[in-house]
Amino acid sequence: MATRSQHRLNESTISRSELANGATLLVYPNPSSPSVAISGYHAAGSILETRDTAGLASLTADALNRGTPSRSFLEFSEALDDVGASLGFHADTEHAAFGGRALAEDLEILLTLATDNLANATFPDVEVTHLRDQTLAGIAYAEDNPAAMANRRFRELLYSDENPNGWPAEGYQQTVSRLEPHNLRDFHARTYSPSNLVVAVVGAVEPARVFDLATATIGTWPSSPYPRWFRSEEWRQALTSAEASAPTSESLCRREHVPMPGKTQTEFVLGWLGFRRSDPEYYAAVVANYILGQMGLGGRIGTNVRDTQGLAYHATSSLDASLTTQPWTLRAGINPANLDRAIEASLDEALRLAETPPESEELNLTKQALIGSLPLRLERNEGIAGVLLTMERYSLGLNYLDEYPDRIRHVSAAAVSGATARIMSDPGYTLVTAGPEFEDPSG
Amino acid sequence: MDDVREHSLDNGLTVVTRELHATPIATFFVWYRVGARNEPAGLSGASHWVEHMMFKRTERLAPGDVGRMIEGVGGTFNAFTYEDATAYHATLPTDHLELALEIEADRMVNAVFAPDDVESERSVIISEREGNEASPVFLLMEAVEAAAFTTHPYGHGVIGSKADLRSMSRDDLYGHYQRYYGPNNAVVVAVGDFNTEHLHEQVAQHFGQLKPVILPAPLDTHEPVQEAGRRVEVRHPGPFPILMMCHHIPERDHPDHAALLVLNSLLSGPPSGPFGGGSVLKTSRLYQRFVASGLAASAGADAGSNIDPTLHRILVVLKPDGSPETIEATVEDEIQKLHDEPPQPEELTRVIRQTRAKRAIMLESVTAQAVQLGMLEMVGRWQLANTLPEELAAVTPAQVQHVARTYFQPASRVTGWFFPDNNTGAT
Repeated sequence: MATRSQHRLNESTISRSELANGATLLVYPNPSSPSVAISGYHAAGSILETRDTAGLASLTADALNRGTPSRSFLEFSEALDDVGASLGFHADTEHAAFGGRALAEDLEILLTLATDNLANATFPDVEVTHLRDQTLAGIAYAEDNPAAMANRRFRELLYSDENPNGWPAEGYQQTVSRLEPHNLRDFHARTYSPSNLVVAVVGAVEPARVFDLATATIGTWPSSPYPRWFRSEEWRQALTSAEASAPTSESLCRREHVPMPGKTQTEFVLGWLGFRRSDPEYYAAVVANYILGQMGLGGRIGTNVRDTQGLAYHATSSLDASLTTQPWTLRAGINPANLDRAIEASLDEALRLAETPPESEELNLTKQALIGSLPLRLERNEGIAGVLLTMERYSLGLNYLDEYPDRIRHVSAAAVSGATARIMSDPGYTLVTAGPEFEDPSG
Repeated sequence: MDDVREHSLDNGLTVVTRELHATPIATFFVWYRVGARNEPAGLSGASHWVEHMMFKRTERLAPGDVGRMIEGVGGTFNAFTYEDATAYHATLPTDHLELALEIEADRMVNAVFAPDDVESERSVIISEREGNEASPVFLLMEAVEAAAFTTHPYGHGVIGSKADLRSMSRDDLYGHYQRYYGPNNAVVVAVGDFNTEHLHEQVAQHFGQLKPVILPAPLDTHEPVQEAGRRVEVRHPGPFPILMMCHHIPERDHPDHAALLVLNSLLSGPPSGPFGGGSVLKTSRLYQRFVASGLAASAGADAGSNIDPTLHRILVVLKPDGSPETIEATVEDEIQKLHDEPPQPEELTRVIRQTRAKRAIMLESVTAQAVQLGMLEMVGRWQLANTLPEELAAVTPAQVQHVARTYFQPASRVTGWFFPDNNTGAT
C-alpha cells in the first residue's frame, strides 16, 4: 500500500481572511463527515483582571450565552438543542475562547448564535446569579480534589502575587462571590471587540460560503469605538507585565503540603518555570518532555515509578508553554507512605536526562512518535480547528504543519539535555503535595 | 454504517470491519467478553487487573514495549474494562496497522503473569483505586451499586474491592486470563484506511493458528427482584450533599430499552455513544428543573445498557444551602410527571434530531466508530449501530410513559445520598 501524504493542511488549503470589522477568519474544508466545528478566541483572558477580581474573565465568558436583547438563555439553548448542536464559552489566562459543533447544514445557526452572544450579551441579573452559584460550587468541588488543589497551590507559589498565571482562571470563592453582573458588563464592554476575534471553521463546508455566512453574522458586529491599537495594546501590556512579574529562580526549594482530611492518596506537583511558546528551545523541550514523562505510560518517570517500583497509577511530566512563561512539571498520585520515593525517583529521572543526552534509539523513537502522530491529531474537525487557532495565536504561519516534522527532526540529543538542564538542574524547584495529613499517612 | 462487514475464522474469532479512506489512519480493537459480570466473590477487579497485565510481559514483549512500539510509529493505544467486556485498542497511521495485529495476537495467549509483575501491578491498581476514592461520586456510586445488586457481580464495581485487590493471587489472575482469553471469546473490530480483503488475510495469518478456549459455565447472575425501595448513605469529608437516585431497568436486548433511552434523553440529553453518557442539555427536564431554576449545582441522568438488567441513574449535586428533602421530593415529582403525562411529540422529534447530529459528529473518528461497533457487539450485535436510530425514531410518547410507569417505581428504587462529614475524616 502506498504511503499517503501526512496531511493537507497548509497555505494552499487553508483560507485566511479578515472581515471588514477586523475579525480574522480561518477556514478548512473537510468533507469526510457531514459535520462542522467552529472555534475561536478573543484577547480577553484573566490576564486583564486583578487578583481581587480573579474569575472575572472566566465568569464573563461563561455568561455570554445567558441572554441578549433578542434571545433568552432558554431560547439560545433551544436553538442549539433543536438541531443537536453545541456551543460553549470559557476563558483561560490569556484568552477567552469558544467552540461549537453541528451538522454542516446548521453552520449558519452556530455563527448567528456565537455572534449574538459575543456582541450583544446583556448578563441578566438572575442568570448571572445562578451561574455564579454554579461556579462557586465548581470551585468547592475543585477544592475537594487533591490533584486540582496541588496544581492550584503550585501555581500560586511559582508566580508572584501580581501575576495572573498564579491564580486560577475560574477564580476563588471569595473573589467570585463578589462579582456582580455590572462587573461582567464592564469587562465585556472593555475587552470584547471583533478586531480581537479569531474564528476557525472546519468541516463539510465551502470556504466561499463560509466567508459569506461569516460576513453576514460576525461581520455585522460593529467595530469598537476605541481604536484597534488601544485594545490590543492593553492586552499586550498585560502580557508584558505578567512576564515582568514572573520570578527568576532563587535556587531555593519551596515545599508545601495542602492537608485534605479524608483523602487516601497524595498528589504532588513538582516543577519550575519553563518556556514561552516562542522560546528557541521549545521544540527541544517538547522532545525532552516526551522522553521524560509521556512516552507509553508516562515515559521514563512512568517506567520508573509505575512499572518498576509499582508506586503509582499515574506518574508523568507536563510541559506547558504559551505567550507567557509556563511551568514544566513532574506529577503523580501516590500513597503517602511512598511519596518521598516517588518524588526522588521523578527528580532522578529529570536530572539523568539533564546530564546525559538520550541514546539515538530512544531519541529517534520519540521523534517518530511526535511526527507520526500528526494524522491522528488531525482526524476530527475540532482537532483541526484547534491547530488552526494555535497557528494564529503563536504566529506560526499557515505552513506550520509542513515545517513541524523538520523542527522535531532537527532536535539533537544534546539539545534535549540542554533544554532539560536549563530548567530542571535548578535546585530551586517548587513542590506542592495535597492529600492526607503527613501525621496520618494511612488516611 | 451500511458498509460494515462481518467475517469469522474457524477458531471462532469474529472480525468486524469498516473500510474508510478519508484519513490515512486505522484503528484496531480486540474485545473480550469478560468483565466485572464474570467475577465470582473474592475476585472482584480481576478482569481489570488482567487488562493491566496485558501491558507487562509475554514471551516476546517486555513491560513498556507495547507503548514504545505503537507510539514509535505515531500511534496511540489504550485499554478499558467495564461490567460486560474488556477492550484493547491501537489507532495508527495506515502503513503500520499490522503492528497492532501482531501485539494483540501475541498477548491473547502468551501473557506470562510473572509474579514480580503481578506484585508491582497490585500496588499500581490499589493506587488507581485510591485515586478514585478522592471523588465523592465514586464513593456514592460504589455504595449504591452494592445496595442495588445483592447477588449479581454488577454490585461490586469494575475496579474491585480493596480487600480482593490485596488478597488475589497470581494464579487467580492467570486462571481468569486463561479461562476467558481466546479467539472464540473475542471480537476484532477495525475501522479505517485499509483494504478489507488484505486485512482479513492478515487477521487469519496472526490469529488463525490460535486455539479456542473452553469457556467456563456462566456465573449465576440472577438478581432477585427488588421488592421494596432501598436507601444508602455515605458520610465522608466532601463539599456538598449529592443525590443518586437509581431504578432497576432491563438489559440492552429488552424491547423496552429504546423507550428508556428516549426517556433518558428527555431527562438529560441524548447519549454520546451506545452506552449513554454525553453532556446534559440545557433544555433537558432535569437541567431546567434543578439548575436553570437555581435549585441545584448540577443534575443529569444516565441509562445503563448492559448484558444483564442494570440501573438508570439520576444524579443531583446540591448547592451549599440546598435542602436534601426538597431535592429528593423534586426528583420524585419529575418522575411523577413522566408517569402522569406522555411527552409531547415535539420533544421526541428534538431527541431524534439531536441523536442524528451526535452520530454525525461521532463518525468523524474511526476510534469512536470502533467503540460503538464493539460495545454493541458485546451486548448484542453490532448491527444495532444501523438500526438504533430507527428504533429510537419509532418510540412513541405512550411507550415513554409506559416504561416510566413500569420501571420508575418506589419499590425498584435505590436512593443514595452522599453527606459531607468534615469533622471525623472517616468513611
